[in-house]
Amino acid sequence: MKKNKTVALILASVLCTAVFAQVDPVSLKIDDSHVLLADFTMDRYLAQSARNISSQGSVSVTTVHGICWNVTHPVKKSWYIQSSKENQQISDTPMSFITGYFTQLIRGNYTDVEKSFRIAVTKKDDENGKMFLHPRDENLSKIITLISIKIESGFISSLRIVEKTGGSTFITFFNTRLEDFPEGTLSLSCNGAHDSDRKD
Amino acid sequence: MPRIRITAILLILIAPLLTALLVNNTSDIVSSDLKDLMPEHEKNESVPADLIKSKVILASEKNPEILKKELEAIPGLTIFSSPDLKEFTFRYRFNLLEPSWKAGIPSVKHPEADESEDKSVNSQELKNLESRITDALFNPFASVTDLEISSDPFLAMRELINQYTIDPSYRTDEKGCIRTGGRGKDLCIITGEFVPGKISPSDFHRIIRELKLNDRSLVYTGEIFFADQAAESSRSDMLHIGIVSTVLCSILFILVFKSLLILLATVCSLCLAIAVGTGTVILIFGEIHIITLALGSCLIGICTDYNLHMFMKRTAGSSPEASRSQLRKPLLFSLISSASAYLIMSATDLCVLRQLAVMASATLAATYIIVMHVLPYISVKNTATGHAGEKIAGLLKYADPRLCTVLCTAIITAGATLYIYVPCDDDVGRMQEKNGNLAEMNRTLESLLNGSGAGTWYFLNADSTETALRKCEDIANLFEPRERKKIMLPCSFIPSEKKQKENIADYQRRAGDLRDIYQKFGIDIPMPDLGSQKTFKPYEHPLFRQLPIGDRGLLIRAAADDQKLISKLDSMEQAVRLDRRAEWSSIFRSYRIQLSGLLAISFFIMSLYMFIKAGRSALSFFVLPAGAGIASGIAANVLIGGGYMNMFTIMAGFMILGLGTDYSIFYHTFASSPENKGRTVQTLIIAWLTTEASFGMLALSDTNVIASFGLNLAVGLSVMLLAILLSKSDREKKETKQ
Repeated sequence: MKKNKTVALILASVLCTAVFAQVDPVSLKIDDSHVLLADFTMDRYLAQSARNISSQGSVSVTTVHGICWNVTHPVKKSWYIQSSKENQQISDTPMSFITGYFTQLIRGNYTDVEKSFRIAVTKKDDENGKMFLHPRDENLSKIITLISIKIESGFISSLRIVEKTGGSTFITFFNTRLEDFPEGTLSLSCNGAHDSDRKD
Repeated sequence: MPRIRITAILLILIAPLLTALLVNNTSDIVSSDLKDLMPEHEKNESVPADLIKSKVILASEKNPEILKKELEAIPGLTIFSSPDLKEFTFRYRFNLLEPSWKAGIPSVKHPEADESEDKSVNSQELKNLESRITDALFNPFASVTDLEISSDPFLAMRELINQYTIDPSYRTDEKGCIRTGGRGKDLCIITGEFVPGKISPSDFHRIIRELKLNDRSLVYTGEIFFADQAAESSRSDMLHIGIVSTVLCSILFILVFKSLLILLATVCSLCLAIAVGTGTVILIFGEIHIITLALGSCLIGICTDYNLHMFMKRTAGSSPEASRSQLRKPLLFSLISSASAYLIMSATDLCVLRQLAVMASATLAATYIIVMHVLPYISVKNTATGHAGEKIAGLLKYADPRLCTVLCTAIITAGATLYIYVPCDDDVGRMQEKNGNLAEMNRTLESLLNGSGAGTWYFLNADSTETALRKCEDIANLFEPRERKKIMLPCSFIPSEKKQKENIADYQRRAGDLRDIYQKFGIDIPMPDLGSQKTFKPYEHPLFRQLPIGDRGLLIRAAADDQKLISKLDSMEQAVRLDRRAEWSSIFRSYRIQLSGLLAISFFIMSLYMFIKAGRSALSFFVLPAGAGIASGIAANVLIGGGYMNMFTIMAGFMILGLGTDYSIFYHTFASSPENKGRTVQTLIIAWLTTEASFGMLALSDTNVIASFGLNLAVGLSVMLLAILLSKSDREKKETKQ
């Protein structure tokens, strides 16, 4: 009985706080003067071959320079997404949708994302909640069914991309923190990385 | 008896046209195809007409989706969806296409890998493949999905797209338009094609006007519009200038002969002669080009003169037989000389000139027959007095022939100097300069499509689509990865069947390596069944209609700002650089040079004949006047026409030579006797006036090139006639001395 009450309470709170589209997304803590640092684990489930692939590493994000995605296990490799090329990526090819929107989402910029996704938001408060992105684009909807993002204390704590085949990508972020961003830090930490903006 | 003969002659004359109309399809006999203007030996090496002839490009700034729907509703106009390269690659990567297209995509490797004995090449190739797969599996920004890995395990399509980047200034919007920015505008580019026989550019212009699309800034271009405009321009000039000149000539005839019957007989005679010329050309060539028809119509000038000579004789009281007898020799001589001058043109390999040579000869021969065998039997009143001519002849008596010789020599020297030192303008673009709207739209679209880094097009000539694609594949291997990003090779997306077989073999050969790499990360990918993979015909490919591939070659586009790449392409024997404007200008230059030579030969032959016929006096009544006439036409083009000289300047030279020869022959034949001089001078002046009223009027044309032609004729003929009238026969010289 107690369990049912709890479920009902959660449902009620979800219903009460669910806001559709661009009305009031959950705020993310990121600004021009800080670098967002986090560790991550990424689990990919390939439904076609029924296999799981896991990887771990760290990520650093700045609004000015872009994102450095640094994988440490099972391979060591880094990818660097430059900020200046993101807009072009979004409008360029259907295949770039995820890349472009992913970078925008991590940085808390929803304007372009809303053009191609219906966004549903469930908020606990200003800095905690979930966002659900359903593709508007016909082609993309044949591949991706849903992207869900969980935000805790103003940071993305997890991101899930669900594919039509049943495959999925689930990324969990932890040890997330903001640090002062001295000029040049990002490029140094991502030294030798691949410029991933071509690898759409 | 003459009636039966006349009827028989008229029936024989009309036979060529009737036969031509019966034998040929009437809707196809008048051609306006620009390709017909090309030399025969260049026709086969040029771009196949079907590759570009009926393709049109349209662009709009506002409401492109509405515009697209409206354009799609126009019957006979096929609107292509935007080049769906991205859509195609998307569908390929996510297995949304028929599996057969797999054969179309190579597994992407270094061209020398596998075949190379250098182990480092193969080892590097393997590393590249592993790197691609690592990216796909562990980089979340790579956007590789489960479906893509299973349908394209080599990740070949995304690699191919990276290697062959289409101009990034283009993008496809959600409405399916290719969008490109330029001149501060962002236009939606739509491509289409006119279905032959279903719609003409004129219909298209009308429909667009009716749609009232002005507020949507529709601009369009295509070779078909220019061909149509050239034809329309010729038709318009023939109609408007034709009406004015016909009215002026009719007034002249009425004033001189005071007879409607003579006017009617002349008009009928001219129409019949042109019909004979046209019919003969159609019988021999199967069609007649609009330019041949326009230039051939200029023969009316010479034909009118034949009519004039006959009616002047008849209205002066000569009997039909006497008139025929007096005119037989000079008219025959005039016919032979003019026909020879035109027939020399058939020595060229330019189709239009060969048509013109046949048309001129047939038209003049028909005129001669009509003038000699039909017109003399028309009953006329004695109305020609020749008084005006006698007065003019009286005035000319006082002119010093030496002064005339000096003036003619000076004009010839000036004309020759100007022709040598003033550069000829063979630029085909200048010929249409006065027709602004279409040219402006073309300029706008060219700048939008080519952007700041304009594209240079190359043509690969072949005998089939398959060989064209193979040639393309051969040269594709010669480009470095950096260069491939700046060149669009259709064979990158649609491989030849030979290449498809290689692709399948390549997949099979590399399947083991691929499986090993995936297994390194614990993944067993389902390998596609390549053993049963079939090839497809290039034209079956979904992108075939949207890429510039034809059955006799294909087009390659390279970034013009990369000089190294352009030099490399220029040095390739298989690739012919394509600059339509330069190509046509070069053809017109070739026309001009060939015609200049032919004009010189004609002039020499005529002069020789005149010398044989008339001795030394030919110098004063033919050589100098004809030379001065041609030279003054050139001078007029330079001094009045702004230095615009091209092949049509030389064409005008032929006209001046042909008409001037007639003036010379008749003046030399009849004006030597004092009793005939006045009447002959009057006849020649009337002939000159009718020619000026018809061809001099061309100087008022809207088309640069025709205006220059008219100006050349107007001045050249005036100078030549004056020089002939000022010349004196040997008898006159003796009389003057006595």
